[in-house]
Amino acid sequence: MDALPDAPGKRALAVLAPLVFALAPLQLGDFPLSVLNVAGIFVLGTIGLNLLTGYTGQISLGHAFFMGLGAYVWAHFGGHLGLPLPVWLLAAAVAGGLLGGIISPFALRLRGNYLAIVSLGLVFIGIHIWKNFESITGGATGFTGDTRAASVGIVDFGDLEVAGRAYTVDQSFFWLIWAVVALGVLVARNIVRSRPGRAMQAVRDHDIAAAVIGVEPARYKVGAFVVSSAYAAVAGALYGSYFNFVNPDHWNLFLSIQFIAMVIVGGVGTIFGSVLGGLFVGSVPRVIETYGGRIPLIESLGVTIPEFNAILFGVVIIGFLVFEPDGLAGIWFRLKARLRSMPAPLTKEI
Amino acid sequence: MGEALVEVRGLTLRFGGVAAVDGASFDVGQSELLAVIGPNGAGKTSILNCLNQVYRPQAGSIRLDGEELTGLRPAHAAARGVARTFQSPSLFTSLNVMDNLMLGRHHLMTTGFLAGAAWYGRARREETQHRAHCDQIMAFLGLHPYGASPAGRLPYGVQKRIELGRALAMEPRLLLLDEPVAGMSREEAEEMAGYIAEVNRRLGIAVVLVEHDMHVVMGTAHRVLVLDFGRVISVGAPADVQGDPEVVRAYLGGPEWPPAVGSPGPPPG
Repeated sequence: MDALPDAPGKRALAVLAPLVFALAPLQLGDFPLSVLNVAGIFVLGTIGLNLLTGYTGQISLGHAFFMGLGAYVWAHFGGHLGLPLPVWLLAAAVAGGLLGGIISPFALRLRGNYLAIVSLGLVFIGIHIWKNFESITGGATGFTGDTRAASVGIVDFGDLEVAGRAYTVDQSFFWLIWAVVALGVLVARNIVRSRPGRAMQAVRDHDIAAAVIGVEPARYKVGAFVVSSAYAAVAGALYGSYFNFVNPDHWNLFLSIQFIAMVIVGGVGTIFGSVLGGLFVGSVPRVIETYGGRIPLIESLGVTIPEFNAILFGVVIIGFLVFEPDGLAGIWFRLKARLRSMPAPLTKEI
Repeated sequence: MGEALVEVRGLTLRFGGVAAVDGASFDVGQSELLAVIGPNGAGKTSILNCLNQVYRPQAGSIRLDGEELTGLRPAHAAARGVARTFQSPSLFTSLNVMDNLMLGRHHLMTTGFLAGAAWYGRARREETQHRAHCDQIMAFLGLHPYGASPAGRLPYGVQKRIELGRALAMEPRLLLLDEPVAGMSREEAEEMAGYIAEVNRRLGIAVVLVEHDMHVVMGTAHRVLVLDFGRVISVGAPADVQGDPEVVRAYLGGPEWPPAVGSPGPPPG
């Protein structure tokens, strides 16, 4: 790859994205930033689940468990021991990957819905552990950190001060979270376009044919589980640090379902779609929660705003499954193809 | 006999009480094109499935260049140089032609998850180098016009060609083709037969061809092996096999149809 990609759209993105990344925290207030920060964390988790479900065809409802695991890795190494950010972030990735690898043999024996149900068991086992292993998790009341432990060298994202100017946690975590998201997107894209990612997709499309041409399906199912769980755990660790608090009830079935929804809404089997899905499902409900009172339509429906959110969530999932199985990414690619096939205006006299 | 690439001895595969392959023994020579024919249910596909270890035969041995293949996993048989196409195209339907071919080269490449994630240095060089090889195969099989679409959306005949390309990308020593021209028009079938003959002649790859189309079988095969009820009833040059009374009886039925259980066939070879 050259420094700048050749397609004009991609080139614009390569210039715009860093600009938005650098300037957004300076322009936006704390509320929109906090929405984007949580959405960014969800984007990371969604990329992980999409590698497993979208690219390898293994449906898992256990994603919330691995995110919770990462949050408690932060709780212990960051919030409690106060070790620096790179340490607990890496520890979360390793712990998530390791546990994902230990759990993955289930995926070798079970397919489709059966795997989904067994992986769901993880979530309930997890909640039990989170509530009872009090020395690390703080039990049912949750864990509050002594510190966010969000420092890399002299840069402390929990208390950022540059050239005499102090930044809020929402501002500095925007930079932190979205930098990790950018790295996560890059790593995932590299995996899916190289040998291991192709093998994952081969296992998804036709596992017997994959075995016959020399792809070991078991190896790539396990690999996908490891990578996917590592992404979830990194997302969880960032979540813990950002809120400086970990609540055991948070890592529940609904969160797992939300991740499935983000994969579907964004686009199954595309990294770009994971970004869109995480942004959409991660941010829209909170925006409605906050500004829903100003939309007269919701009140006239006779439902409360949380009820409206739940209904919208269901309608959006069903809508995408029925009308747009390729998700937001599919809509985007189609729009692009349509724009490209439009006749170009004549630039020269003939 | 020492010249043979593949030596199959006493191969037996049972599904419950039914013997799909019943003590079959035969050789495939270096660079030989051996056609396997027989009535429906004679065990032709079962023999291919044993050769690349998708099925585990209960008895018998399969040696490739003197090394035992039985007991290996399919992926390991592939790594030893056994490539395979299926009766109905079994492509990776959502991937494009290049990715399907590149998956054939999977066992020749080394990039793992970490190297792939970093996508730097050797991983990238390896990718470029193998893509160049697949590009040549695409040119050979005339696949370039279909490059960008997902393989599952392409016409049947093209999918069959992609599957042959994927098998070639594996750089096999033994190529197993299961009805490569089934369901094709005469022109498509002739074109495919041409590719198969060229692969065998120019690249020197040994081929075991299971096929019902007798034009293709008689036109391309060096030797023909005839199966009936899992047993080898005749092996020889195409012209000899055609005249074998045992073969005629298996296909058309004879005074003893169906053959009495346990009635001995002529010795193989």
